[in-house]
Amino acid sequence: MMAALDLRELSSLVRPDVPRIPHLVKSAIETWRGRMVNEHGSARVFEALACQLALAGFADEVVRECASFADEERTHGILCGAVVEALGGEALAPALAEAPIPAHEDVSPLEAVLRNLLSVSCMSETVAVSLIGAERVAMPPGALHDLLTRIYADEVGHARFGWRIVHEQVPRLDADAKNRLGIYLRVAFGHLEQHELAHIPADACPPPEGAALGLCSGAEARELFYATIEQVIIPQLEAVGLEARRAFETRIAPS
Amino acid sequence: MDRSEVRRIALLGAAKVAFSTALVGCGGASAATAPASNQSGGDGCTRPVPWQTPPVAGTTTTLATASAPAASAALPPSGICQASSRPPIDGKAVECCKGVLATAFPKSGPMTGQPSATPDLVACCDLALTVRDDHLAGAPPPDSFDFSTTYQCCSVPGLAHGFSSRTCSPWGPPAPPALPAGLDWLTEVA
Repeated sequence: MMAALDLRELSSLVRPDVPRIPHLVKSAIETWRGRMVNEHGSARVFEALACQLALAGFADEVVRECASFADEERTHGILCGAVVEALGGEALAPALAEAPIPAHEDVSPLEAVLRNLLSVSCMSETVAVSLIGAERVAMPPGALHDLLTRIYADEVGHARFGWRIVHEQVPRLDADAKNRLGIYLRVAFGHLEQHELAHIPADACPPPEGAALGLCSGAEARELFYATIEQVIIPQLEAVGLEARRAFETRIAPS
Repeated sequence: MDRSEVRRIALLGAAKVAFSTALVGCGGASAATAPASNQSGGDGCTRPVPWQTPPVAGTTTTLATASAPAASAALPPSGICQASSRPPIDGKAVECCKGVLATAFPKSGPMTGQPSATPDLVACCDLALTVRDDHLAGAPPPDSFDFSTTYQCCSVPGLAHGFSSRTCSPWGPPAPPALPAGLDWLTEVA
């Protein structure tokens, strides 16, 4: 039996004023409900990361900072649910199925947490910064724009956190460890592509007024996704000594 | 603001996130200490086995354990439900499609699963999305499709249902992938 995520009570307390666009209400409800589920469900990813950072010997403030991201993701879930409620829907959905968080026991705790940071912060959250950033720029000013800005600011923090550690730690690794991380990037890129494309249908094509409710074009979002990989993620990973270009070109989707 | 400008600003934001940290990393204070044998508890974290222990092939130990996703089962033959998303909705088709979708998307499986998009699955997903829309419009069928079905359907390619993004969102980082044992630069897709 799948667990339910019921944020109706909390979300109803912070309902924003949203534009009234009747023919897009249903689409917007479903879109924001999906975001509610994904955001709330990702809290456990950061909780696990915080534990891995502690295990790897990172300073307490670093561990606490990462743990605070879990609270932010839950808050994002409530905020997304608030949009659902404001649109006339219910902030109620099946909770996200809990996928295992890999411990990567074949390598040191530091290398293990670097693998997960590369996937979570340097890939997923960096892509989120692009996609949410585009949505935010296209959205007219108002309460929904303010809400999106709050989420965007937190996502920037989540991505920057990982990049900061990667820039500090990866250059210090020996050649073998960098090579192993490069091989891991093959899977991480494949996983990222698989996840993002599954959630960005190419045929999603809302009308221009959809931007006011946070509805975006699937084709444009996909283009931005690949541009973020090519122009941001790969160059920065190469800059710290990882074979990111090779990894992306030989990416494999996890089974 | 035109679309190319939106894209440019969005990319610039992501670039700032990734690039600006490079400066912090040059000569900045190290946040990490040596990755030693810090196996003690007290912080609520589950400790994995020592990293020196070789992994056992085919097994995965996780920090946060959860049930493994079930593999998608085989789909029924195409055309079995005679499903159509055009009104009026056929109650028999709804019931039949529930079976098709339950088989394609096991309850214990991931919500992002993407089985082969057979014509029957596509037709049933279109029907499920339409019925869910009717429900949101205030005319719920007696026994509608559940939310999880809708979310699973949204990743199925080839849907005729307009606005397939309504239930889709890439937000929220998923759990990172594990590294398959024995993977190197030359390993091809299994």
